[in-house]
Amino acid sequence: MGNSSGEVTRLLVELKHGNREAEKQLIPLVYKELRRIAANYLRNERNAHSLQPTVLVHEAYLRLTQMQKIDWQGRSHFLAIAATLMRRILVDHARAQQSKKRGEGQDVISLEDAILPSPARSLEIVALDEALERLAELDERQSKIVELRFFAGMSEEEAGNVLGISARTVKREWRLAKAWLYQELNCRL
Amino acid sequence: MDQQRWKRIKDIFNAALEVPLSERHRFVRTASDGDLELESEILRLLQADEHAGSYLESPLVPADVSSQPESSPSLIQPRDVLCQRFRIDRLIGEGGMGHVFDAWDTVLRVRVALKTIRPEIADHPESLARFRQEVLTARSLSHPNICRTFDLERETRVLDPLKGTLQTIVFLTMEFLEGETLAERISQAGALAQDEAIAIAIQIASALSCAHDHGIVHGDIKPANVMLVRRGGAGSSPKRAPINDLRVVITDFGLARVDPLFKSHEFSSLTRSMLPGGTLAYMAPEQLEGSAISSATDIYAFGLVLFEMTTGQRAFASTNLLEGMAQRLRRSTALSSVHLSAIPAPWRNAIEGCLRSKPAERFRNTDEVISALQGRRSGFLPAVRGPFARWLAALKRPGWQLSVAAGLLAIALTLFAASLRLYQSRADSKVIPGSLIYLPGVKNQTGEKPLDHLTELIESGLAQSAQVNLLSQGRAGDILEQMKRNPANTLDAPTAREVAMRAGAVRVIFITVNGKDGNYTLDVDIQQPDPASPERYREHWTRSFLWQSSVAANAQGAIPADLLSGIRKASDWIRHEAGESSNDIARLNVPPESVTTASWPALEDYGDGEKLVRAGERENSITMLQHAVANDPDFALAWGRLGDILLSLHRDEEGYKAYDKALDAGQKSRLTRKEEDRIRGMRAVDTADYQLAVDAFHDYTVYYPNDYIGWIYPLRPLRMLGRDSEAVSNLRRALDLNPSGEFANYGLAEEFILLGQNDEARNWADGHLRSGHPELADRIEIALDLLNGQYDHAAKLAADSQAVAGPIQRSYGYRIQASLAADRGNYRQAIEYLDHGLAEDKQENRAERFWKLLDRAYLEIKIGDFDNCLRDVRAALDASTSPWTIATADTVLGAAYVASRPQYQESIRRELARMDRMLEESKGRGAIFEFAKLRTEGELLLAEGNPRAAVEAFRRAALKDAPVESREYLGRALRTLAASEKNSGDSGNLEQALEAYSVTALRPELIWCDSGNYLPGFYADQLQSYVELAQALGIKDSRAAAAEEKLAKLRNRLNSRNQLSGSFKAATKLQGEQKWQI
Repeated sequence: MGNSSGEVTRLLVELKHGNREAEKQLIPLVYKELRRIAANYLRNERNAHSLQPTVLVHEAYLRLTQMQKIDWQGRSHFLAIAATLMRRILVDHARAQQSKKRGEGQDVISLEDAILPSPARSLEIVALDEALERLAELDERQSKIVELRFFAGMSEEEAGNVLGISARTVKREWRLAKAWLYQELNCRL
Repeated sequence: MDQQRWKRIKDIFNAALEVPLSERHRFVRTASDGDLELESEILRLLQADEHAGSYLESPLVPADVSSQPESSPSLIQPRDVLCQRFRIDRLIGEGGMGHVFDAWDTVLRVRVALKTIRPEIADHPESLARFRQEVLTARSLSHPNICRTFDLERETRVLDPLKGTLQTIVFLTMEFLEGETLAERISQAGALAQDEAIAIAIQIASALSCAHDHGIVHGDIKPANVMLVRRGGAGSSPKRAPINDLRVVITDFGLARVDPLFKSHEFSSLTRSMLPGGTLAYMAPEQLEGSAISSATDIYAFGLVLFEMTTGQRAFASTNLLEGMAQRLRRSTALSSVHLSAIPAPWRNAIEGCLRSKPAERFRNTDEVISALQGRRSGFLPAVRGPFARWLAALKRPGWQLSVAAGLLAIALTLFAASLRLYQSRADSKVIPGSLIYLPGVKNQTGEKPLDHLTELIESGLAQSAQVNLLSQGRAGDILEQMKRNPANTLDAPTAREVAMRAGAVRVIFITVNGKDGNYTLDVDIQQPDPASPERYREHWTRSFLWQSSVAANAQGAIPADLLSGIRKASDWIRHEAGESSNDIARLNVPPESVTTASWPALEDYGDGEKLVRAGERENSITMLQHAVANDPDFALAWGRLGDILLSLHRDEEGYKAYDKALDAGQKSRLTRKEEDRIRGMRAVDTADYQLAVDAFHDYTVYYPNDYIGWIYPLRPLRMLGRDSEAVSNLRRALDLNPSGEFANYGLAEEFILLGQNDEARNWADGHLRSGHPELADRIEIALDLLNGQYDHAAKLAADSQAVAGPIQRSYGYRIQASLAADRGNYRQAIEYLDHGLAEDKQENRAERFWKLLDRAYLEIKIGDFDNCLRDVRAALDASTSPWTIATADTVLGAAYVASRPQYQESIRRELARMDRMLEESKGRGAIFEFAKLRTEGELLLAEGNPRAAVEAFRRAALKDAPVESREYLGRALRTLAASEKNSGDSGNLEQALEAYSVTALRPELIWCDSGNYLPGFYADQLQSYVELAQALGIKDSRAAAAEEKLAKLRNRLNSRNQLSGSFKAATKLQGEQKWQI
């Protein structure tokens, strides 16, 4: 833990100074931590229902950085990365659930089991993910906002802080993104 | 589709959302400009937007969470956000209606109590409709002793996505109150002391009287619905609160009457567990019978509350509830004489007068109850009153003829009463002093553009009223946004009435201008909104004002005199109708053209400027206001507003000039009394003329005691004058008028610290700031930590606070962090914080970055980096030449001079000389200019090797300086003087220096409450100088010992931390090099 915390701090500083490579190195570290925390929560049944994506992301942040002084930009980078990871995790799991129906075996308790909602939504989630990718081509920021809000559970204000825009702007962008996605998915499903 | 097209869709989509639903289609068609594909895409999106509802609104959460609620007692959990607006913080109680939560309204940024409504009511359409009606009614009550109800909202949630079950949560939001209920108080304390009970009774009576005047009956008055809120520190027990510090608030207005439980015919079907036992105990006979209730019902319950306060017992104990009910229904005297014998006579009379079985025989109103309580009425009132009633009573003897006569008479009486009520309401357009009124924009039906701007002219007259306060357009805009209406649109009457009702305004003034060439009317319609529905008004008063001069001919020139006189008459009439005395109207009544402008174009620019301010576009509004004053250079109000905005953007010099123009006595147009006092006061605060400022705001409060601005603005002057108790009572007045004001709440917490009431400060911050303004609560906690020597905790808190702060708070947060690090001698780290802050400021182009430059310059002295120190001072002075900046630069350069070698000393001297020249024209411009001038002269004299003259200059500077401010400069000069005369054997200078340093060294509270105004590490430096001087003088008193201990604590802890010790050593070494030769 101690090592990776120093590592994460260092990588965040590098990322801030424009080293995009740092992001690639950060992803597995963050991913590992997200899984670890979720597993911990799961072991303790009583905690299971308090496990929400936003809690997970913030706790991963606190653990990985050991509350060392990281400026807000570093923190925003981290949260944005974690949000993308949450999306990836949730979508991958939804895909897996789709295929599980075709008879694949059951994993040991995984992060995905801990944080995914009912299998009934898996189809919707996969479709949403695809639609989000199309949205990103039109407006990357809107797609990112959906990721932060829906997959990482952030409030408008939190998402605004990560993206460096006002909560008002988030609200406005969110409304259109939501309408667009609603329209896209209702036509296609 | 490509990004560019998407951008276009986005723009039109967003704009369309601002347009009313009915006009959207047309709007989109026009905006799409013939591009049919674009048009249909946007229309599809708008339709999707309407249907999307809560789609994607709840984040993807684990299965465990979504399956949980079924078994859980409440559907709502902390951290939930309802209606995308109310964030749940914690559960605070469970009542008959449902659960009550402490919640945060993210739109209006206030703490609210959120009360969920039991599904039995919420799912019952008829009950819900009645409930909504009652809430609307209750919302119209605006009284300090009545809990404000805000809104009834609903949210539909998916309970189980698999089964598709939905759950609708209906909830009420209302004012958040912290304290205990009267029921709790009585159960803990037993019978209350007479004076306490009377104080509580008076406030309950005042609330009931207001409600009854509005025709609203509470229907469930009981000790559990009476909250005792302590005005001071929320966390402490109300028991210790002086009686006059207690705010008594009646809750649940309008709720009792709609609960289907109270409909008597439904009693039978209720299970016992649902019976509200506590409430039955307070029901009046007519309520128990299911008959109509009236204000007399509340009087009855009030009597039971009085009984309980004075005896500590319930009149009808719940163990004996049925018997009590039977007793009341038998219509015998409610209470036996045994019950009453122990009660003092006035109380007995008051209680008996309330508890008469027949509603008509009880006290008519709460004033009578209070009079009886205070013994102003001997015995209780006669059962039958008034000549008519007495006659009626005389007629009511057995015999049918007489009862026919009585029947006819009763009809006559009813008619009489009805006409009397009508007469009273017709005559009484008056409002309580301090009431809020709302003036939506003047509607111009003439088609002549210049007449679009009459609103500002009418406002100028109404704003001078001592009787009523105008609802600000900014607040009205917020409310419209909350109602999801576009503030830019013209309001229809129901919308305007709803805005008024939501804001608590008791009157709406509709003004329409009609006519053309040479014949105009200004139709004024004062409406009292009907609390039951914004669709109607309850009463209204109208009048028309005429004028003849044609506007069209004058569109570019002067506003016709008879129009102005019409406007003035209209505003006088409105004020008169509101109940303002003719005397006040005459006294506070500068004509509209004199307080605004007589020029159409200037008025138009001013109106546009105000609109831009509302929209948050300050830079653009400056341009507009500059146009306004170019069109009419005598437009004092526009100059004043320009000054406000410039100062808010840190353009001090221009701001002061604009203020000076506004206050210039030679102006043709004068400011209103209100504006003049405000600007004079603000100008005085900004130039450190604190006594003048206090006087100006005092004047303001004398004329406008109901406007909180006059109470809150003198906070800083009072603090600087050391008049903290006065500041506290002012802030309390401000909070009475505007309880959620964050500035007043924060200021009060700081004042508690300055007064040494640290627990109070903490409680206040936690109670009033924590949930809405955590960063302000953190600042209070940091200051308290520092005072208690909890340096590590303070630093951690500052870092945590910084991690979640918004950009503006973060910018300030860097200075706090730098200050904490520097006080502990960790200068390099402090510089690092400022580097971060400066980088961000630069990116955001923040004007106030010069403070950080001076902070950093001061720290660079500590690490011996004089090149950068000088560079930063120069950069700061390039950014700001205000006397405040110069005086701070004086402190930095003074310290640099002492610490540096000769090659830098010459550069420092030259810089000081440059600053001195900047202040050449400072005479007569205010205390801060003269202070900065004397400071700079003194520093120059020191740098020129003339400490004696420097001490003289500084002594004069100290006379201009605020009493509580640091006298470091004087101490430093005296030390230098002592060093130059070290052989004289006279220790007088050193003793005086010690005294000068003691101002801040012994009173760190001020520095830590106001860290933004001190250089980082300044406190530790003062402490160090004080300790050194005390040692040199051989003083070993308790003050010196305490200072030494504090310094050791600040610095010693440092030694134990390895990573910091390097810079600490460097710092001590440098300080060793200082040239003090004591």
